[in-house]
Amino acid sequence: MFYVICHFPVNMTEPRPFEMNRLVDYLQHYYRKGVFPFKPYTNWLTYSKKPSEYFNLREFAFIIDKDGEEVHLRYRSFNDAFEFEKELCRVSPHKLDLGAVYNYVPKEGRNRVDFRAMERELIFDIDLNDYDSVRNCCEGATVCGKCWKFIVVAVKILDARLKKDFGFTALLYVFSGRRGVHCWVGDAKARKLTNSARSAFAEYLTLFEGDKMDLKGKGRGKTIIHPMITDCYNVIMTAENGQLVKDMVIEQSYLEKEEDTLKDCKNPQLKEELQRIFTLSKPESRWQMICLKCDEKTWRSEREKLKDQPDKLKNLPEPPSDEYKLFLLQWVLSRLYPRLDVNVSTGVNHLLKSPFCIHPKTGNVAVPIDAQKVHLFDVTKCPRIDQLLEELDKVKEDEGETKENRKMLAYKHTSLAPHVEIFEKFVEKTIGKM
Amino acid sequence: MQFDNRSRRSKILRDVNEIKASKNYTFASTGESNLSMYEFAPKEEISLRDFEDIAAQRLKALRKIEELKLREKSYDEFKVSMGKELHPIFKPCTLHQSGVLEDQRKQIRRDDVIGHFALRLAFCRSPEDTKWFVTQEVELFKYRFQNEPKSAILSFFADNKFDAETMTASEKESRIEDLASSYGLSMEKVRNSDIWMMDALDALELVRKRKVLVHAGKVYLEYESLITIIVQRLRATMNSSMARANQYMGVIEEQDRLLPRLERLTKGGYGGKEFNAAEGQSISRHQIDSASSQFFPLCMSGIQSHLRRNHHLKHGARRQYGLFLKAIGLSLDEAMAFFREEFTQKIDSDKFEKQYAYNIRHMYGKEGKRQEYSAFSCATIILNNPPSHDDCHGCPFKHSTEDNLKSILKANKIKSEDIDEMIALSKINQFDKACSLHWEVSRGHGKGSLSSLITHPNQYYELTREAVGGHQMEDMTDDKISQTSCE
Ligand code: SF4
Ligand SMILES: [Zn+2]
Repeated sequence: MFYVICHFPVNMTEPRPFEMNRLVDYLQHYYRKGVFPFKPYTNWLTYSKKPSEYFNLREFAFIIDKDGEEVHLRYRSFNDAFEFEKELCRVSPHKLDLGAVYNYVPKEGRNRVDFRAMERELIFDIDLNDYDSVRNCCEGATVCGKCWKFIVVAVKILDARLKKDFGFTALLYVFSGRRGVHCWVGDAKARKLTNSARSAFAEYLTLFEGDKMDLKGKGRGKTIIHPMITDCYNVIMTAENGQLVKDMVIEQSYLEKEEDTLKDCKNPQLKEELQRIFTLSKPESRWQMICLKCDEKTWRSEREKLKDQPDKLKNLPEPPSDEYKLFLLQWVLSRLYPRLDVNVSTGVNHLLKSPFCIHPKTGNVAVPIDAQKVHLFDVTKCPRIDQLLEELDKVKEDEGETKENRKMLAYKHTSLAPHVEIFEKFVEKTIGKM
Repeated sequence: MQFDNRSRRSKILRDVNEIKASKNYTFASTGESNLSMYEFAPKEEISLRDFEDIAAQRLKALRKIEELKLREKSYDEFKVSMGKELHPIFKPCTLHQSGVLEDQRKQIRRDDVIGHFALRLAFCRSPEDTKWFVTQEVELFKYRFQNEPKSAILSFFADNKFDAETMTASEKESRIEDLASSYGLSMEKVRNSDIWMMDALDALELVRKRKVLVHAGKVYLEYESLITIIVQRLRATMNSSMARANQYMGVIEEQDRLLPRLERLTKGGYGGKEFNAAEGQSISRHQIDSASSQFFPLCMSGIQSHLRRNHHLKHGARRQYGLFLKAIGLSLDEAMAFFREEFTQKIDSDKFEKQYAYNIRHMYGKEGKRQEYSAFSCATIILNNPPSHDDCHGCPFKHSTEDNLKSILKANKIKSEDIDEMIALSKINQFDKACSLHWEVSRGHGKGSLSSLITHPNQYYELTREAVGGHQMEDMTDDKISQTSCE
């Protein structure tokens, strides 16, 4: 008999809680049955070079569980894809982290004085933890569809900046398994960046210091709003035809209390107008009015709409002045602009959780997600290790395939498949870049 | 004079050349440009006398620059005075003018490079000297760069592998709004000025501060920013090659005759030789704790915490620390109050006045020989007056036990791999490298980010401050440089 242990309940309409105590069991099956997509994964890290030139120089870190304590086994390295798969199946670590590509095989060279991290993908980490001051729907570890929208905005902005400003093309976004997203930039140029280039790029993208936002070009006297900041604002305001930002404003109750908005307003005339706007009872109408007064695009499209109704057109407010526009831009960005963890991006040798790694507490797979469809991703329905194994068992029953076939591309038979496809597209792009 | 003997050629410059190994160097550029990035030392024999003459000429010019910089209020006034007072004494400044004959031009360009490298050699032996020299050279370069016509600048870029070009009118038009808003200029102004394009990686500091438009991996620079970038590279080249050259000093041939000359060149006569608190740089006693954790090298932060813990410092530590504090801008009154507040937790203030106050005033040159004492360099700290077991002065990389050093570094939140590396370096007596590595990793700049080695605690301090406050760039861009001849 092939599967003696068929211990996964088959009927599951309600998502049941993840059974953490069976994690070790699950992990072994996850790797050994090839649900983990070894082939595209090792293709990626090989970057179509000889394994000895790249793959073998890469640091992997296994995090294993020793009597409830996490033990980090750093500087693992493998000759080739085959050895990697064998070892991963044997150890089935709790977590898998990816490090840099070094000048010596990490396993052997780590104690040399001149052991150096040479290359690695440029990475970014966005975590909802850092949004606590603006996230009103949930707190701490909990995540709901409403908070996910912060991530949607962050991915849209990061994607725009990395492509437009830096010219990168091979971008991978990975759900971190709990409440965040990691971005991996695989372009050859990105992998070769020095630490100081990484930190320069990351700081370029950073608008916050702690919870304080500073839009001024750092270190310059007068307020010059950099065009990338204006573009980020536009990305937010036009996403899903303005629906995304509107939903967030309502859901996060940003316009409930007059005080929250007025305290950032320095201009007396605008202050007065805002006070009037806050006499409107519905937050929706408040938002609409604020946009009409302070957002140029909204104002223009309103004028377009009313152009044949002169009686209404004359009630249209003045076109937004620079000061009004700046106010709304700051209001929006201070709430929605991505909060990046710069430290993650800065070091070539920083370890980061690998794609397709399992979150030990939730059982969620760290799945790649499509940057264009982040808003469709449902955190609560993220592929979970136990459910994937279950799906695989069902396939077995249905088709009675041979063992070998199944193991080769087992993930194709599970709900992991679409995520692996996204991943494969990314891998193609990185290889195309060589 | 024996040095007139032309048959006895010095090989100095050839040795300089070995320091910065270069293959096919020809003097300055053969092209239109009169400028050099001084990346390759000249490969030519030269008599000691010429060597000395050219170096002295250049040094005179650098001193003039320092003087004018201090004297003139604005950059524009500075430029005018440079034209009046520097051009007559320093020929390379006149190269861009028409009417210079081809032979003369060659000669002047050659002297320019020789003079630069001769002084590098003279000024590389202490960080204070290096700093002074680099500052003046950079100022000189900046000034000369602005006098070059655009065609010459383009050929200078080509010679030095600067991948920069100007945007065409239609390219500008396609992003005119972004360009204008990046720099806070009117579109008209953008249309009428040159905008330079180069790889974002060559302009990291400007990217970091969002001072430039970044698009598709390129940056778009105004003329002012362009100068900043080039000067930055010059500065980095000089700093790292001078740090290296210093280590080679011992192997230079004819050093017996050369060294005294170099000595003479650097002695006296110029300002910022020692680490003295720079103008406007001051610190109060209340800022010391936070400065210690943020900016101080290990040797100093160690003393600071010892002082806070034990409310006392022995003589060695008082001197090492006191002079360091003085050089970062702690005034005598503040220093007095600082030590008094601490010491009198254990002894009464009478005793303090009797035993220690003199001592502190002495360091500030207010007692005894009334000499201005300068802060100790790493070499002094490492070589002289080693601490005994209950002293807290010295250099932790040299004087601490491995275990102690380890726990200090751990408390410093340094990663264990980095700790191992520092300990390995200390073991082979490379304290400067260990300390530089400490700077790189503990301040989060990353390995390899430091262009010169740490050789002085106050250098460590200033580098950290610069890096944290981003002052390094500010110094260079603050001057209003107007576009003079790059139309
Ligand atoms: S090497 Fe110099 S700066 Fe570094 S700790 Fe020792 S004395 Fe201080
Ligand atoms: Zn929520």
